[in-house]
Amino acid sequence: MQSAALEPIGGLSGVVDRFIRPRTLKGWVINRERRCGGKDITITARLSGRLIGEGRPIAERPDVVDERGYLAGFQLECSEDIPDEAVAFGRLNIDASDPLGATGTLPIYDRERNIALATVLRSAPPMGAEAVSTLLGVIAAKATLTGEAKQALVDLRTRHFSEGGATPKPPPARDPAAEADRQLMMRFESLGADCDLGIVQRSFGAEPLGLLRFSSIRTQELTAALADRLRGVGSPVLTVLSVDNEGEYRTSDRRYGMQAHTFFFEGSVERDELFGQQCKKIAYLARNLLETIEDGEKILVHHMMPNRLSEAQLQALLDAVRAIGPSPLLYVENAVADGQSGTVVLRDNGLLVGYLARVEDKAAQTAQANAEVWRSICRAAVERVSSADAARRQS
Amino acid sequence: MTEADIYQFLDGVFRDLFKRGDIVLQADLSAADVVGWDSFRQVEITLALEERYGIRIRTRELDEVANLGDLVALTLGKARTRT
Repeated sequence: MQSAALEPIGGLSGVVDRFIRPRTLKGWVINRERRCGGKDITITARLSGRLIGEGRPIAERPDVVDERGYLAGFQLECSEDIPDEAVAFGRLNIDASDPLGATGTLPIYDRERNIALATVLRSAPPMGAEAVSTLLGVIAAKATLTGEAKQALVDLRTRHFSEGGATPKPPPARDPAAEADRQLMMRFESLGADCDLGIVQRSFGAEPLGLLRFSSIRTQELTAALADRLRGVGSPVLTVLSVDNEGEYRTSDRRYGMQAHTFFFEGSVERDELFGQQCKKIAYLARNLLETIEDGEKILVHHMMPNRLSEAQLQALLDAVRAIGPSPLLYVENAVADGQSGTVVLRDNGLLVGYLARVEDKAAQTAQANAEVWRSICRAAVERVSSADAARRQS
Repeated sequence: MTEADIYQFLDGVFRDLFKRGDIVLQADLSAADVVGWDSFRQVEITLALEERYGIRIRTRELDEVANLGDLVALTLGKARTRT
């Protein structure tokens, strides 16, 4: 006789190993001492304490009990749809009892709980970063999470958290004003140093692909990388794949320190395979960044908060960009004067400088809070570029 | 080469990437319809097409791609030009 390695609870052991949505539960249960046949065991399903299903084993489960005629497999057709939340967060309780007084609680198989958890996370309504952070902390502590549930965590974080990356897609174009905002945001390409622009673009439904959209890189290294025309960026020799404190794989460039999320967790993917994919991806995006700068149609944005770059640093960055192509460069820094936030000036050297009021309230320090100001900056930048182009054509 | 060939190729790519066999690839399928079809996955899909058909697809061109039909048409156009 064989049985799965589950601890007997009150004499009965078993598990719910399949949840067929919306209201069917399958599993097995046995009396370990065989004091009575499996068919005598009663299984009940309760949703938040409410009885929604009752049944008995009706089928052999040779994978669990190799005793012919012993009925261990059950299938409960419940009277209500079972929400994934209930499966994921323990509001669905399955109990078993037999005529001799043995009882047991049947756990829900980890895989099913993880699938339910993934489903819940993927359909979660928008929530604040703090709530997401708390949720992630609680859930990530569970060692039983599978790759699928972990991936759902990543999806959740990218949808709601400032580090972003794997994105739910922009909603289909809404009203004309919203579509105009989306198109405005598509005209900009992030040059680091942080993810702010990328998050703001997302808030307007714009999801351009970009090497530095969700990466971090210091200005000095960015300048050096551009001066070198991003040579070797994405090369396996120059790329490092490491695991951060949260167990997520991250890539970094050996020379320029450019770090990027992969949104894959340790154990959920083959490391070598991931490394190869990431290198290809980075190389592809690097190649495209160069082409974008050469095109000159997108406005490059370098955002540096709270520190301000020196004039020499700015000029070096601008020179590095100009050496590649004509794309305008917008540098966004802290607004320091009243009424300055949301404005853009065009300097004599062609550099656009935008001003963003620094939000001191930590809770409000999100891309959403800054989105309106960013939109003003982007609009102003486009106007400045258009005016400059018009003036150039006239002269 | 036809659009159907590209859809067939993409079917394998999608199965691989999303670990699902129930995604019906059709022209109006967009990332909003597929959980996990994000900008990162988009790069992987693009790279697969580039490799398979020996073409180059630019991120700027992808800015204009609203759904699978657009992507297939873009790929077909480039592949035919190449040959």
